[in-house]
Parts: sequence; structure tokens; C-alpha cells
Amino acid sequence: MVSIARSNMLSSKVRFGFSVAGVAVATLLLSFILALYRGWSERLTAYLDNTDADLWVVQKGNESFFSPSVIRDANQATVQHTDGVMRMSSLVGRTLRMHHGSGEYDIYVMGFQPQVVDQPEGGGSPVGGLGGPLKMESGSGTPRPGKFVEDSNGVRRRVAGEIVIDDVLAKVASLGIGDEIDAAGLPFKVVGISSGGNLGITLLCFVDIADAGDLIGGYPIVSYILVKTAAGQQNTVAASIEKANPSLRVFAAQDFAASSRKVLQRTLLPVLGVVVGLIFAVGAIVVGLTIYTATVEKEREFGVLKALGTPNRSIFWIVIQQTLVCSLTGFVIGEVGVIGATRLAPKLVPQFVTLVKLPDVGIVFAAALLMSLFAAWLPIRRITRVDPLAVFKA
Amino acid sequence: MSDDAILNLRAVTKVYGTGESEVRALDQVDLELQIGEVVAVMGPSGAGKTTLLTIAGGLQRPTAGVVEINGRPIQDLPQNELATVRRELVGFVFQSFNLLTALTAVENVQYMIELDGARGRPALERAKELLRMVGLGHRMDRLPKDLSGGEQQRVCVARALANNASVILADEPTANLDSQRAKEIMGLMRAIVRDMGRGVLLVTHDLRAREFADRTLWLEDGHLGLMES
Repeated sequence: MVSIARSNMLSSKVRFGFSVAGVAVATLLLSFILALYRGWSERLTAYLDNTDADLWVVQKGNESFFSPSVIRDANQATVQHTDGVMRMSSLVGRTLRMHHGSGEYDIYVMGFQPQVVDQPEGGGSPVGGLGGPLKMESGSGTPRPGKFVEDSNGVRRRVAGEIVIDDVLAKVASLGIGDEIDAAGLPFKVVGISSGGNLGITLLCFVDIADAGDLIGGYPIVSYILVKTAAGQQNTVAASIEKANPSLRVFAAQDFAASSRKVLQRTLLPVLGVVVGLIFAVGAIVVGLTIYTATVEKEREFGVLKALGTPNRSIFWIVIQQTLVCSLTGFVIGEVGVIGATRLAPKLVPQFVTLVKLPDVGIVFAAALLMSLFAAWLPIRRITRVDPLAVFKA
Repeated sequence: MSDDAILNLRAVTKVYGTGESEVRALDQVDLELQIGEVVAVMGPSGAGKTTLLTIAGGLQRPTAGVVEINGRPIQDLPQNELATVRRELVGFVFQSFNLLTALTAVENVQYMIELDGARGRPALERAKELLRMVGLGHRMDRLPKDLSGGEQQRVCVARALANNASVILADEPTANLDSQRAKEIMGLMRAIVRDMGRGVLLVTHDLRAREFADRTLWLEDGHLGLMES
């Protein structure tokens, strides 16, 4: 069957190429931004989703892992002695700038209690063992704290504490086990490399809670208390802790993760929405203008088609076919491009966290279809105004 | 009206504009075209020849009067039905050929056949047959830009025959051709009428058309009459 749309496109390959390239770039950008957003959303709370804790105890008013939480040291004992608490582990966290050689790196240092104490002094539930590195790639996952010693000359100096760093930080900073770093003026020695601590906006590193205490100036506070409860006791335990400690708020682990994600969504989604809208518009304009220009150039031929008795719907279909082919070809190229880009980006920039999800491919496909319809609209309007009588003029 | 009339215009009037700017392009025009007949309409520029042709072909409606193709009145049909009439009952030959530039010669003809409902290989074979008939069997895969004016007009004639329309309307078909090519095209249309049982209404300035026409009419100031020799 004769396809005027195909022949038109093949007869002006450069224009067709520009059109396809426009959609491909738009598709690639749309998909990449979605992949970035999905990656961030997933990675952002990967730590919260995998601490093995049932409850997160935070300072009242704190809704996100990414805003500071300050809990008085004394609250730990109250939590530890609450009925239904099977294990409790405190975390002290802060963001800081780490130095290694001439490089500076912003990290989130999390102090945790690596050792489980089953029968702590003063009674109560066992303590420790929650909130450490998610997955060890090499070395030790139980960092020991630093200590002060006096040398033979009586000079007091600090022996470096141990730190477990994220594998992304290891790549970025060229760090390996045995290397020493400086964190807020304190020396640390790398003893382990873990993965899963790249939260998209920061890199998690783990130290003993005693060292984390030194990093916050030795104040008698902790940031979070993680709780493991008896089966089915989560709500009861949470209510008891909040009742006994009015300055605390207790989240189920999955609720704290969701609440933390919401903060990102609130801040990031409107910006992404604008960017996505702009990309969509650019894609639609590129296809629209190229097809519109092609339509104007062939206006007389569309008049001929009308004069010969071609139904309007068949003429419109010629334009829609052209925009569809441009958009769908561009979509396929863009998607292949985004798969390559999401694989390449983390190699070039290890902090990049991207995730291509099938529903997102569907969203971009729908966007490409919409682009082609928007792009077809203007040329179709132009064609409806073409007077077939004009073809009788020489 | 004769039983053989395939095109019949009765008291057709076409008025453009209103008031002082009113122009009466056609005034009570009667015209009949029969199977096997070539009718040439001549007249000065601006006399309304093209208006007559486009009204006969259902491209515009008359202000008054009746237009029948194969006995079917078309003057009051809505646009979509007029398109169907043009697609099924009329073949057009244009002064500027008006071939689709991205399609080859055979595709231009095949498109018209497919527009009429045929599909696939039969449509292609029919298109080739028509092109062979107009003497273009050896250049059917060329794009219009690679064909001479005379060759393009032959493709145009083949396209006009593609839908088996009984009425062929030709608008200055020889205006862009040299005298030799013009004679060939006129001869071709004469042969088509004879061999295929069609009727041709052509408007032209070309006096040589009289040699090939059964009747030659003169259109001036909106009035149509038999042309004196």
C-alpha cells in the first residue's frame, strides 16, 4: 500500500532525523530524570528499611531521618525498661566534612553499638546490634572506638577509632582498608567497606557510638533509639514509650521511611515537575515545528489530495503517522540511550543512583505518544484551512 | 437531457462577492457531456473557465442551478460527500500536473486506485497497466522531479483514469508543454475517450485543442455558447 507519510519522511531524511533526535533527547532526559528520582527514592531510605528495627524513637517534631534529632541520654534507660522491648540500640549521627589527603567529602557518620549486650548493667532488655552497616563488602563491620593513651614522654594522644566507609566513598576518595582519615579533627582508620549506604544525597559511614559521641562534643545525647519488640507488640510499645517520654515520637520503621521519603518528594517533585514539563514541551515543539514546516512546504499537495477526494481523516492520518513515527523512533532511541546512561553514569560519578522501572518506561512512552499528538495538532489545523481550489492555480 | 450524458449542468450560476464588488462568473450556464465526447471550453482569461470546471467537479457549489454526474445531483451535497463524488466519479488533469512529489510515478497512480478501495498487488498491477497505456511503462519508478513536463502530464492522465471515473476534467492540460508534447497529450485524451468510454471536459487557451474536441464552446462574461469557427 502506498504510504504518503513514509514517502514524505524518506524524501526529507535530514528533517526526519532532526525530529527523531528531538524526541530521543527529550525521551532520554525524561527517562533519566525519572530514573534518578526512582533511584533517590529507593536509596534514600534503604538504610531505614533494613536496620532490622521495628520502631524508630526520635525527638518529637522530627518527621525525617534527614533533619537533626536530639534525645536526652537518660531516655535510653526508660525505653530499655519498657514492657515489650526485646532489644534496644542507640544511634548518634551527624553530617560532617571528612578529609583525606587533599580531598574533602561530605558524609553522614552514624555511631552505633556494634556489640550486643544481652544482660546490661542495671537490667532491662538487651542492648546494641541494630543500625550498623547494611552489607559488608570487605573488612570488619564492627568498628572499635578510639582511645586516649599517654606515650613514654607523658604526652596524651588519641589512637584512631575505626570507621566503616561506604563503597561509593571508597571509590570517590580512593580509600582502602587501613587508610586514615580526618573527621571533624578526629583521626579514624578505615577497617571495613560496606555497600548500601549511598543514600543519594549523602554517604553513610559507621563508627562506634562512643566515637560518635566525641564527634558531637561529648554531649549526653543520642540521635535515635532503635527498638525491636515482641511479635505484635509494636503499637503497644510505641504508645508506652511516648506516654513515658512526652518529648519523644515513635515511628514504626516503615512509617519513618515513608515519612522521610515524603520530605524528598515535597521538595523535589515540584522542581522535577517543572523540568519534566519543560522537556516535554521542548520535545513536542521540536517534532511539531519540523512536521509543521514539512506540512507548510507540502501544503499544495495536501490541497491536491483534497481535490482528488481524499477524506480529511486520511489526510490527518498522514500527519499523525509522521509525528507518531518520529516520536516512537525517538522514544526507542531515547530508551536505549537511557539504559546506557544509567549504566555509564555511576561509573563516571559513583554517587549517581538511578533506577529504570517498567512503569516509568510506560509513562515516558505515553509522554512520547502525547508529544506526537500535540505535534500533529498544529499541522492538522493548517491542513483544514487548505483550499483545494488553490491547486487549479498555475 | 440525453441518456448518454455523464455530466449535466443546468442553469448554473456562480456569483462571487456582493454589492458593488459582485462578480457573476457564470450566468445560467447549460452544459452536457456525453460518453465518448471531448468538449473543449475556451475563452479569455478570467472568463470563468476554471470556475466552471471546479463546479462540475464538485469542488465548489454553484450559487444557483443543478449539477449532475451520472444523473446524480451534487450541488447540495455536504463536503464529505462531495469528496466521495470526486474520488469515485471524477478524474482530474491539472495544468501544473500536481503530482505528489515524494511518490514515484507508479505510486501516484496506485494511490488513487487505493483511494478508490483496491489494495495491494492488484492496485499496483493496475497502476502499471495505466502507465504503460499512457506510454510511461519504462519510467514508472521515477519521481516526478525526474520526469519531463510531458511525462508528468501522462502520469496525471493515468491518475485521472485510475478510479474508473466516467468524467475527466482537464484544466489547461497543455499549458506547460511544448507543441509536440501538447499534441501528444491531446491525442492521448482523445484515444482514452474512444477506447475507454469516458467523457472529457477540458478548459484551455490552446486553439489546437479544437482539432481534438467534438465540440468547442466559448465562455465569456459568464455566458457559454458554441464557438464560431
